[in-house]
Amino acid sequence: METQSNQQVGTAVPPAKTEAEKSLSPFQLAMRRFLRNKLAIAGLVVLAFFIIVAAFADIIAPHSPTAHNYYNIEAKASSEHWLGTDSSGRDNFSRLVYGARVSLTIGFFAMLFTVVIGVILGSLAGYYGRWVDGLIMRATDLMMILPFLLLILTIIAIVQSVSITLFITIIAVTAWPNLTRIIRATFLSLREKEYVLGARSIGASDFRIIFKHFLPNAVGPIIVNATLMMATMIILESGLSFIGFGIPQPTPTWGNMITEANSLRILENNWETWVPPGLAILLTVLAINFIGDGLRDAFDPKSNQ
Amino acid sequence: MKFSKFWLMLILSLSLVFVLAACGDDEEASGDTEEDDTATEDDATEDDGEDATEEDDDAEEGDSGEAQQGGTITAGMYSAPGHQFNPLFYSDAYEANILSFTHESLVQLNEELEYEPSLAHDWEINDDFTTITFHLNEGVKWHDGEDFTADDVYFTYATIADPDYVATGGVRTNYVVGLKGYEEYVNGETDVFEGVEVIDDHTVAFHYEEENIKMLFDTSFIIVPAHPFEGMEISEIPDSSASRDAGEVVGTGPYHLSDMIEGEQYVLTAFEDYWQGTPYLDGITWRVIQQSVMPGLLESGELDMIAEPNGVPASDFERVDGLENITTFETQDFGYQYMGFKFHHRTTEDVESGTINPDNWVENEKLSDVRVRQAIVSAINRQGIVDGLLYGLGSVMEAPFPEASWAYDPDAVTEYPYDPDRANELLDEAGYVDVTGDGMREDPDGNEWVLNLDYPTGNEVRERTAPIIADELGEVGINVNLRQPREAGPHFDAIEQDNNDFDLYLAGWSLAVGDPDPAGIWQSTAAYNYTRWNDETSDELIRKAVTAPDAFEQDYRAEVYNDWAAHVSEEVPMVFLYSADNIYAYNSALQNVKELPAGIYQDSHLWYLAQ
Repeated sequence: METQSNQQVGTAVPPAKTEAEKSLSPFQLAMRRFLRNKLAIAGLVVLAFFIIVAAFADIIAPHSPTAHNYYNIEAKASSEHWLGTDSSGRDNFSRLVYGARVSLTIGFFAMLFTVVIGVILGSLAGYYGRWVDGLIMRATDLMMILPFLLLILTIIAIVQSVSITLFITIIAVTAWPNLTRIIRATFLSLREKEYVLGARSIGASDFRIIFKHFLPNAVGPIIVNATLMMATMIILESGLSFIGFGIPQPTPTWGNMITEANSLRILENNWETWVPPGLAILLTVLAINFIGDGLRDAFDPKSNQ
Repeated sequence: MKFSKFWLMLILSLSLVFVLAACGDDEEASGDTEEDDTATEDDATEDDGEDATEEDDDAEEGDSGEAQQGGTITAGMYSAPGHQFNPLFYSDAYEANILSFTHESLVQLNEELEYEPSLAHDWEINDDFTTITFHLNEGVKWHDGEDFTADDVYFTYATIADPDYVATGGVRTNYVVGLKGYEEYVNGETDVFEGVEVIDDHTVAFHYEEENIKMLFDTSFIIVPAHPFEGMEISEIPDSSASRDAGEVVGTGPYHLSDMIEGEQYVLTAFEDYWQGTPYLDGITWRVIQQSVMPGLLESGELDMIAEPNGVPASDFERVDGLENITTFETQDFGYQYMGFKFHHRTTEDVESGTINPDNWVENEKLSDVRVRQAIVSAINRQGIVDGLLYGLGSVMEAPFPEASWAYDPDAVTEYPYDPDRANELLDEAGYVDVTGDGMREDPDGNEWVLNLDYPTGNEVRERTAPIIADELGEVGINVNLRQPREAGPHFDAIEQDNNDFDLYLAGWSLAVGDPDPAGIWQSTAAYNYTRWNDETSDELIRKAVTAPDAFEQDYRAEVYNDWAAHVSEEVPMVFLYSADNIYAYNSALQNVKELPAGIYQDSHLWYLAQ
């Protein structure tokens, strides 16, 4: 990343520019570029919509998402059950609404923890190099040679009850190597920069160098990867729930809802059971990816739209 | 480019789903194309009246109604068999799906639930009902070409009676306990098992200590060959290749297990030297398929048969029944689904040494109060499960005799209709009240009271009941810890090796239809007594029901079983959830399928595909 050269240009070019333009930080520049990206804004709107739905699920959902009803199984859409009921007589609409909460929670926190692990290990490896780097990179190699999905499936098979917290933890401890490598690579390229050498020569502590000089310059790739990772996590949760290795029933998740469509009967007769959660996953993931792409372009100083 | 990652993820996740959902698909294609293609390409109709449907025809062979050689069928089951194809040691219904085609017994059940000849063509019973002498068919060959003789019969029963049998994991001792000299043999006092006498190569006699009223049932166990296991310790048998490996498992049945991909598919190939004539079909392929996709595959012709256990899911009955190319057959199940209470756990030493000794068991105090168990059964809306999840195709029961059995008597038992108020009362009475104010009850000492509920995947109705049960128990203040469902194999292993923290578990029994004697599951020392219920009254009644001479009268036995059922329904050792009707379905092109109360697998060598 060449963000810092931008900074230097900003400070080095003297008075020809106006006061307002001069004070634009790289972050502000990025924001400006981001706001000009229509797809990214659309993504942001869609995501905000789902976040609001998730936050106010209690108010929006007309029924309890887990309440079964023996005498109203696989019902069609009606005024009582807007999207019908599933094969245990639970209200599909309420499950869809609560599903947003579960899916976004998992997506966000799994991403957050992965990023935290990735940033810590990546910066340690990238900054200190040598044996620290060797150790951490061998650990990531080790994690990466294990097939990611199989590893998750195995862990879930061993664990006796998968709660949302546990699920997030499982994902976070298995998904960190990629991000770690990216951050390490960024740090390696920053390490030899003049301003870092400068900081070091005036006796700045490691801590200060990492936080004041490295992280702000690596924030672009971190944010971009984090966003994309959130989308990945939502897909992962749905996929695992679909094959029965995710959050167990009766917790409403979008993946759990789609599982119902395994049956040809439901696939053909009860589209209202599986189309909405499918669309919800599609829209959310698409929105997040648009945002991620928008951010990537925005943080790239070479793109000058 | 912008979207590449998204598409990659989408494709990856989709392909993952397909790979997992359609395991073994590719392997299958070559073997089973024949009957599908011919069934759809030609439209001339067959003129033999029976079960043939419009799309069957006889273009190739020409002679309609005649059995035709060739073709394979594909059958589906929803959980994978455990890896044990030795009848002496198998334990699950999925293994039975294989063994029903590869092995045979001396006698088999007919339509009226009476025994008819199989490996034995004739038998005599002496006047005081202590000896039964079988005359075995000659010219019966094992899959490896050896002759079937009386020695194999002796080997089968002597192995079950062996001192090490139970410790090795065998669960069939109820077939031999009544035989003469069993006590001496099982205690290792003698090397000769008196109970089974080999008279000559094709004559064998079973001698019983006392008069036995269900000799034919007791001698109907599947016969295994002696020669593959020659010189082996009993403890080595379950792990030997002749018990586990495709191509090595030897029986007398019309098909042999020729190939398998564990957990995915099991290929049965016709046995050419089968004693009743070479089977018409070239083979039967069992595939392990998720239950919910089975009806669709049946419809598309990729699957030709759905049978044991449980058959077609009730929710799909109407749809499958309406398919033109499919014949359905509905029977009442002799088995049932239940939620077990773990009364006791075995110690780790006992599990390792394979000991079933009630004296060493550790009591599970969470469930020892009978009022708690009665409350739990009252809190579960079992009628709702039958009406809703089973679409009415099943029945609620209070004792382990399903409606199809002659021992069934709804008047003898205490009924527990859905009544949460009663459940609350019972729990209050037993001292299980909420002292912490979190809405969940604590035990009488005020300690946290959480019941673990474990359940297997595979059977979808059963899977659906688990969260519902947890929910309903929660409503009366019972804190249920619903755990991650396991695959059937590991789940049942965990129930059996019960040195764990199980409290409640879901399972089902497929029962032998020959006799309602519950000893195999309910006697406290039975290996199948998974609840580890240790109750003297129950043990006594079970013994009493088969003790001669009174036990010759079916009425007398029915009476004793009524007493026993009453006792069981009072003590609630498990919650009998439901007995679901079995809905078997098979391709209408498949002819000569015998629809028996005990299932449709009998005489599978006569099955053929109408071309």
